[in-house]
Amino acid sequence: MIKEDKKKKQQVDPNAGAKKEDVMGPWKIIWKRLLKNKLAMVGLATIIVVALLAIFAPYLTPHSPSAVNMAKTNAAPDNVNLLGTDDLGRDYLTRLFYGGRISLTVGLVSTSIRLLIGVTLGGIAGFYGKRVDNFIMRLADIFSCFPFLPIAITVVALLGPSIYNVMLVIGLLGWPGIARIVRGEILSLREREFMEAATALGISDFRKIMKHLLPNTMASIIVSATIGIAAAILTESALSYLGLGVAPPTPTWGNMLRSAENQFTLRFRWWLWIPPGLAIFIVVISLNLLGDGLRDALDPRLKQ
Amino acid sequence: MKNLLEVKNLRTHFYTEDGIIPAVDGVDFSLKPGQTLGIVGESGCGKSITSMSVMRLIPNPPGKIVDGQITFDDRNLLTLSEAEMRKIRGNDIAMIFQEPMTSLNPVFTIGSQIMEAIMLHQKLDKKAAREKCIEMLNLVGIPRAAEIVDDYPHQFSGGMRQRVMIAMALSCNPKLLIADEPTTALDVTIQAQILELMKELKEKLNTAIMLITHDLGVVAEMADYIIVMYAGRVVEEANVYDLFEAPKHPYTVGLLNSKPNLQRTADRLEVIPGSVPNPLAIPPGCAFNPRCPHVMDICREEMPPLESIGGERKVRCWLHTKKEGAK
Amino acid sequence: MSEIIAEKNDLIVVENLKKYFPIKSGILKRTVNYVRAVENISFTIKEGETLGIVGESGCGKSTTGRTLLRLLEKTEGDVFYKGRSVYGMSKEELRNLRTEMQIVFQDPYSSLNPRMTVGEIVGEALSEHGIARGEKNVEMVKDIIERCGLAPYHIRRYPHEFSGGQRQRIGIARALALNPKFVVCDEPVSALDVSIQSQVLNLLMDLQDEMGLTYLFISHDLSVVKHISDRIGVMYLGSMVELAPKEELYKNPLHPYTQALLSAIPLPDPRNRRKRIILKGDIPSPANPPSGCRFHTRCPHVMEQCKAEVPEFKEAAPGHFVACHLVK
Repeated sequence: MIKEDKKKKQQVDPNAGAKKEDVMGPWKIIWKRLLKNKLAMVGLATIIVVALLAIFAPYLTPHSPSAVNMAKTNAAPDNVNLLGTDDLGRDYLTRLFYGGRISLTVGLVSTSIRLLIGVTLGGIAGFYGKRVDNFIMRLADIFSCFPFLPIAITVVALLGPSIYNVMLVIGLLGWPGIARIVRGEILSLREREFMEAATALGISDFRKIMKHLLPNTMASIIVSATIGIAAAILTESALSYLGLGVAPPTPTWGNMLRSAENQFTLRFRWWLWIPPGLAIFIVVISLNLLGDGLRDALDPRLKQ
Repeated sequence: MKNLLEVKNLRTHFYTEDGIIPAVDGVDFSLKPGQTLGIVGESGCGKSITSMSVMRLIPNPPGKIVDGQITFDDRNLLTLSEAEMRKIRGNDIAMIFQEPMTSLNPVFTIGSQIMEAIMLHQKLDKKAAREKCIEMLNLVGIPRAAEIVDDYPHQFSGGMRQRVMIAMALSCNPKLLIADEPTTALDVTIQAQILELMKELKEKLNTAIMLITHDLGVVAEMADYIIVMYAGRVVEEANVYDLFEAPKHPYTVGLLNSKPNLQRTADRLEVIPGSVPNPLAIPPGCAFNPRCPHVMDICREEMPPLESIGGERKVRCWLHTKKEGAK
Repeated sequence: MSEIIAEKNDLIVVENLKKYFPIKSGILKRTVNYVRAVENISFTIKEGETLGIVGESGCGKSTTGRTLLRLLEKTEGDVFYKGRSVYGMSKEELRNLRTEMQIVFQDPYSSLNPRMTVGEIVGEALSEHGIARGEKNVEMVKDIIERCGLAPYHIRRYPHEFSGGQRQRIGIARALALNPKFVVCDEPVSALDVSIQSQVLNLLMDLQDEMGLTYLFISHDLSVVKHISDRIGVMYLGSMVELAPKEELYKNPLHPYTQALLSAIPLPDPRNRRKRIILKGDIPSPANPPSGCRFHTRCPHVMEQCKAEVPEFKEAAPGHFVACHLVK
């Protein structure tokens, strides 16, 4: 079958042998592009710092988030309590760190739930098309018609306010967006010739989805997940602020903001509401900057 | 006869993240009234950028005309203001593109698009412009022109759209028509129609044509004079008969031989090995040297000049140029 | 209907193949009409030969190629590979058939998955079909890409690092990795520059010799088809209008469309600026094809009969088939 003599005919590689190991994968190129985007890098760095502060909270502060000190309530910031104390005398900076744990966890877990449902259903809808697609997409329409807050309030009221219920509600109600993105991408990818090639090669459906389709939708999934985490953090804050999220004494940025309900606090105890508000603001804007940066880095689709 | 267009040492560079791309790097040519000049080359050789430079349509950034002189009708186009340039575009120099769909605005009727140019440049009123527009559509062989003026571009087929583009381009009697791959997107039988039409109109209106194409068949059919470009430079210049009879530059020779020919049969095609150089890393010396079958030491060191080799022929190759002292 | 009789050395036999695409409209997505992409075509491909198919856009040449491989389902008719009906096969049989029939695509960009390395692209089918895994897979991939003119170390690279011509080589390597017998080449050089076209054409011809391949070579470029093919079929608007050995077709074209097509090609010979046969009008829409002979709206020799009757595809000379009322 193989004629050895013909084997080395017309080698067309102009730089054969040279820079053998210099392989630039698609992800590496995206990362390089992202590195050039200053705003996105600021966002990424901020998120990493905030995450580290939350993870290593126990080692960063000598206080416990729930240690009550009735002798020193609502104290202004000083050398011991860098951000003062709340109405039960708990160290506010410590609570801010620990609150970050909850907020970030809620963001990550609820987005994972959204992704799991959204990518699976969107993938199935896009790949199989026709009736399956119709059914899933109408389901998505129905889910996106639900008014979010009333439903969330009802569910939490029925099941009781807890961090798990909050994550579940955000995850279960949020999947249609992701599903639509994934479905759209897969519909267009399905028409590309490499999918036809896969069929011609006799590649199985499972491998087609896992190896050919999903890796190519990754880019938009990552972008929408990044921005989704920010939205989930905001939602958790809103629910907690309303008293429907995470129940005290566990601190979250949302329920810490509740102290601002008090007129007196709002006017004279800035340290009780500005720090959690600022924390939410910074994390959300950082995630959005990163998401935008990712979008730009992924956008000019591996041309050349 | 005086030259209508004279391009001297044109350099158009693109400044990208990865470095400077010398898309056009010292191009000279001229064109007489009524003449058809073919610019031939493969993708990335700078043929389209040359024509865009003449129209001063290089997007800036990233592109910039960094050097050169473009004299059209005794005026240096590169020193004109944008407002003066706009008077020339569409009026004295018109352009048709490869993809007629993208160059027509889908939300306006073709009539209004043609009339716009006529009213702007020829100062005609609406009624007269409409008449002129119908006259032009008739001229390019569109049936039922009077009814069709009020149709939208999507109602036309590819060939008809290209006719509309030609009607629009010729509506102000330009002295120069730049046709950038005008038939590449069309089917063979439709291409034949459009080429025939361009030839007829050229006879009738005596318009000079700058025809940019990768198809050697099309230039052989249309052009009087041809320049062959490679990696941003002119490598060969000749009238159409000389070029096809006795190509001088090894690239031109390779190009002519690598196309399967309907008239003769060959077992194997001759091949130009390798591929077009990366525009960010054009080899030193003659840009064609890594692919050239006749490469010599000097080719790797020094860029050959574009030199006259008798008559109106010029070639940029050390095989045909005497090296003074062979530095 | 057709006079084409299957012979012993026919690898592929196509019988009265039809492919209609439904046009759906309205909220209920009802089928309102059909695009008649392929209308009743029959031909055979002998083992080891190259059958070229030429035609302009919308003539159904690509659809024919895909329906042959059952990448698209047929509407009517049948395709036989080595005497077995491709459409009568079970899913498993069809999967096995994939190792014998392959396709090379036109677009070197959209036909390669940007997220897979060359090694994965070319070797995927080998492991999917259980032919070679692990080390052996890598060895086989290296061997085939080398034969397609790439270097072995390229297997770790991604498609975006390659030029159009090299990508087309990857696409060819992918199709040939399974060591198929029959390959549909769907405009494999149309997207490439002239100097690269000839490299790829030579490669395809060399590989055909080495591996004993049979090609169906689809192109709109007659000079390319003439170079590579043994026999050529000309398609117009879903029908095959003429089929003949290549020299015969170029010397003695019988169908007015073939004549016009041949005359329309600009030749790289300025001394020979011919008087062309210029066809009038545009190619009609395949959703609404003309009655009778589909070419009658543009035919310079149209007769009353052409408007009413579909001409039969018959053998006018030995091996030379044509569908035209002018040919008796």
